[in-house]
Amino acid sequence: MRQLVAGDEGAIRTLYARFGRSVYTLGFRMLGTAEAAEELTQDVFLSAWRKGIHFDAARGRLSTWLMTIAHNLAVDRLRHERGGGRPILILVDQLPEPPPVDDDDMVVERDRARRALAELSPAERHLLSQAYFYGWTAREIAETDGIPLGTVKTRLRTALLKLRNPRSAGGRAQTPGGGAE
Amino acid sequence: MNCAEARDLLPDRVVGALSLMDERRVDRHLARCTKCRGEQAALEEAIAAIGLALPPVDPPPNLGPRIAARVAAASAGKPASSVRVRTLAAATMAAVLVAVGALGWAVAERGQVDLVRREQVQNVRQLTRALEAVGARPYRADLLPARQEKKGFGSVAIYSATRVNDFILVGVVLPDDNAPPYTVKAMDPKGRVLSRGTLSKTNNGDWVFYESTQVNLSRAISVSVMDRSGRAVMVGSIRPAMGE
Repeated sequence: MRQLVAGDEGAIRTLYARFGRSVYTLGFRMLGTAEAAEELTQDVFLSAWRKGIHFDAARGRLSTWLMTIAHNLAVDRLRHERGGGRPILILVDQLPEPPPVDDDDMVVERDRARRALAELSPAERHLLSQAYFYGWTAREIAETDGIPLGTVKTRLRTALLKLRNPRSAGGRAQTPGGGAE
Repeated sequence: MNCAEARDLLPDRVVGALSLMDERRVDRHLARCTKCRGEQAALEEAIAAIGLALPPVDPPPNLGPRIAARVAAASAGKPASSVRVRTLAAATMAAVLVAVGALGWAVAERGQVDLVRREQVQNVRQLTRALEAVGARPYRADLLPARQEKKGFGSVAIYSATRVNDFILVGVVLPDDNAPPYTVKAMDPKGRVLSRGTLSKTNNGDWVFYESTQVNLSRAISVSVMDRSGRAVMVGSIRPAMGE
């Protein structure tokens, strides 16, 4: 990461080797075509090279940072193209067993994610898919599914909190707190 | 917005389920609140796991080398030097914006000195010469109301160079000024956002946005201005500025 911050182009090759497939996969699932996924992947790593100086390891993982950039760029594009071809959506409850990979950290991350996702209710998984993979706002989800906006927000919030603190990891869901600042 | 309100919206922000206006409100709070940023980081990690858990799809084998080549090209094209031109541009641009308003910029560039004061014209011409001296190519767009019944007008100026940052300057006049904040986006032919920001109101009453960026803005073909609901209020097509 220090090399990335210093603008080292070789660091991009290393970063891509480790995370390129994950970024491409997200782009392919959200945008629906190989061409769009390639363009998104290029944009993500170019953005990472430009913004490397802003990455704060104390705030979170490199994988999280990259996937957040990828998701934000994909949502921007989806919203611009609203009405275009539907993405190849994989509902989060249809995740098969991931193939073995050499990177132990990625195996642990994927396994943790799968177990956390298994704790969501079908309604929560459905809402999360609509928001995360389609880039729909809470209001759009409410209008499409014919359910109250407040219900959508509550389910999304509950799903996120379960993902953050899965029981399978020994945690329990926490409600957000905090007062005026 | 206080912490309780921000944290109530954070899950939606993280998955991308907020409207543009609410996104901006939450981001403004996050910019000044370390506790909420910590909460955001934890939620982002949780949601990123969804993407990481997807069955992998292999990218084409030449994608990695293409990305490396693109980074190398970007690195060669935008050196860290030319600070003097960027400093001149920022200072001059700020003075021009305050005194003239962004529309005055467009007018001043065309040399219509009867509409702006002579020294402001000189400021603009000095900036234009400095940018053109480093090979910046100018692009323009006229902004028109997105809906027939609406009024207003605006202009976009882009300078794209290989050796210094690209600039974009957007100025609009909105007689029906009742739905701020207004955001602006410049997009390429595939809908990718190349520049984005919030318009600021000047002392003259018009709205302006200015950005200096390493992004190659010569690829931009359209600009949109949106109100707080995300509806387009002004739109325009970008073209090379020839002989203006």
